[in-house]
Amino acid sequence: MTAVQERTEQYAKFRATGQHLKQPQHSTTYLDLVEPSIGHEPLGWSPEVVTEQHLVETIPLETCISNKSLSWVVLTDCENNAPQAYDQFDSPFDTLFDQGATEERVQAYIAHIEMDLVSPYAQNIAARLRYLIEVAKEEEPDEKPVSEDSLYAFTRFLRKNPDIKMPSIVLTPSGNIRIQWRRNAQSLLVIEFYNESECAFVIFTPDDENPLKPIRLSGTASVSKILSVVAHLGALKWVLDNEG
Amino acid sequence: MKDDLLPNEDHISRYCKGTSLNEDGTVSGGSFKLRDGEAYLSVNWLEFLKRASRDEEIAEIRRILKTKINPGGTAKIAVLNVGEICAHVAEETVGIEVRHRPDEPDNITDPSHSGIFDTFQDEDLIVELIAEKVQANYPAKG
Repeated sequence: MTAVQERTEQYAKFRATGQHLKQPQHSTTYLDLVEPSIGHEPLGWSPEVVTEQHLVETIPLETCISNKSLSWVVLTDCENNAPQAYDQFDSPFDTLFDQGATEERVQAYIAHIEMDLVSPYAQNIAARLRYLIEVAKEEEPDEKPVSEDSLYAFTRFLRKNPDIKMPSIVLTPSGNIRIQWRRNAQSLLVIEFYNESECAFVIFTPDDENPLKPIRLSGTASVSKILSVVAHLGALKWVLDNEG
Repeated sequence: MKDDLLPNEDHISRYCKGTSLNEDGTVSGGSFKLRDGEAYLSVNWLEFLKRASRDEEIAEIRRILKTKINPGGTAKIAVLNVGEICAHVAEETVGIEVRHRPDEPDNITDPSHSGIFDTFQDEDLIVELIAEKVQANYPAKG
């Protein structure tokens, strides 16, 4: 059984559960977007133009990054309501996985940030990431400029928290994305994204009982919970756009 | 001698890659994170160079850097005071030390080479505390 056949079979099993997304009913096609690792959360897909053959596979801008889980997009003929044979054409998605095209996946992630996220700073964030990657390539051409795991986690963070202010973004020597908001000498939040399930944080926040010395804490948290973890320390005031 | 503690009143410089700088060119905590497998943070001991001025020290650091790496066009050299960073970190978390480690790594001639030790534990907090104490920064390419 080829990898494509295996995925097609797994896809069919998954589809049987009814957990899949569909294009609007007026469409002549279905677009199924599947990422079993996180349920079937919409991942920023947009309708695709159907080709004459009514058989299209598209690279999901985000899901294609995660090679830890099975992820793919299938466009099917609604009359058949079943996936077409994958091996009838060369899938760009397969190419990304099989050839380990890191650079393409990284660029796809950044394109997803730029085009699909609702943050008013999405374009600025994407531009900053592209700049950092270019600088990294100049400084150390033989090194991977950015960690895919970290970029994936950062993308999830942005999707979950569209109301954040534009952070300062840097890369660590390991290629992790490290973002920060600093309001003043006593107010700082730093988040470094390790992978999709974990990030590290540092927070400096004023101490009402000791105005001369801020509270300084560090720790780790899940990407999905990080802002709620630091919220009770007042960090959201300088992190969220709507908190003033 | 190797492993001697640097005097508190002396200064060190740290090469900061362009990717670790904030958009406004200031040095972020990311500039002080260890690479995978690194035991300590590489720095240079400025007073050891015995130059007449800070500018001359930085010029010498630029020359040394060129023998070891290809400095990026946006990279910076950050200058810190030994005693300040050690005290600032110790006030909040575990203590760090700055020790002389000449000609490391790889036996490349670099007599002023030194290291900031013990940043690994509580690293994320320590690097931010160190970054707060950057006294000045200079372009890595003169």
